[in-house]
Amino acid sequence: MASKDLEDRVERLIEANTAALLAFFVRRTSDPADAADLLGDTLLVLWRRARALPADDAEARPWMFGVARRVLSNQRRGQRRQSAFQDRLREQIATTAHEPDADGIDLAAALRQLPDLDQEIIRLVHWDGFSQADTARLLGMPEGTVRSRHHRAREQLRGMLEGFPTAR
Amino acid sequence: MDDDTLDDLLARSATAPSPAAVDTAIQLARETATGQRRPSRRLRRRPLLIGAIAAGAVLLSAGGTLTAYQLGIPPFQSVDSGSERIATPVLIEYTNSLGKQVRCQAFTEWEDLTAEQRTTLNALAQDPYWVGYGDRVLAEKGLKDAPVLDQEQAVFNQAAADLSGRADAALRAAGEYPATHHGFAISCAPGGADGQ
Repeated sequence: MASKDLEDRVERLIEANTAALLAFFVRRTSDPADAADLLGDTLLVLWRRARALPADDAEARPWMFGVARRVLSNQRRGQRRQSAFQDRLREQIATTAHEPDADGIDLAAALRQLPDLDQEIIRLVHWDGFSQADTARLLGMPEGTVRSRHHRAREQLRGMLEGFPTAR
Repeated sequence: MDDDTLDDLLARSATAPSPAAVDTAIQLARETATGQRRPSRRLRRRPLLIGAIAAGAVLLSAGGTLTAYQLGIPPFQSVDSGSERIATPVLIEYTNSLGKQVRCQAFTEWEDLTAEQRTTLNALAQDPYWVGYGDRVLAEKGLKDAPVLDQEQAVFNQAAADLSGRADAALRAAGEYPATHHGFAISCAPGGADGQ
């Protein structure tokens, strides 16, 4: 692929997934403002690794989130870059992130009782909208493993949440 | 609790960024794209929005920029039409771990400056604080023998913070605060992984 075509494709794919990437980080950081820095880092890494982007768009999305996961795992604060947009984003996330609405059920607390990998599988499937196949691709695991862990995690959550009101 | 109820509960438990934050994130993505595209492409597109978000990449790829440096032109970076880069660069020098003298030009970028603010900010380059600055940063951080890329990154990080801080302080002292800070950019030569 010519450089211009590659750049056009990368720009298109990144822009199509930017909102989801931001949400991905907002949901996984204790300080929501960190999400702005993590998104900024991820955007740069995605561009620098553009030539590794899978040729199939369907595979590109989990690949991009795989990059996001690695950026998250290597999170480091600093002032490596300063951008007016990044500063604005940091403020906006800190003040306006929508709180979850789960009828008073502390699902986050229940989720934290699961093994880390199972938590992430639940988040990827139910929060970020990945199929179990894409979740497996993103995590670099066999699909069957993801399916079985997902099923088990759901059953554990169901057990922990029994007794809470569920009326909507 | 049936499957549908559990699915619904899980879906509604996800924190979501606000629409305004999403809009800003997309602007950030576009700004990053502008900064990361090849220069020839970027110059054809439109006036660029690059602040310092592109500067890290420039910093790491500035090995071939000596001519641009000698001409006093920050390479591969231009600014948005609504902002301006301070004309007088702050000169930052240090000796890298390969024994090479590295010379950098650091700039702040702003929006809607008054003439008085512009004068104040241009004068920052004359501050003796910057004499020996790069070597001081490396010494204070214990990076005098670190890989050249780590040295570049450390100087960049510290310069971004210090230059922005001193710019704000200068504006306050001159009674010209606030001003809208748009970004920070730095170009160094020699640069890149070989640091030659």
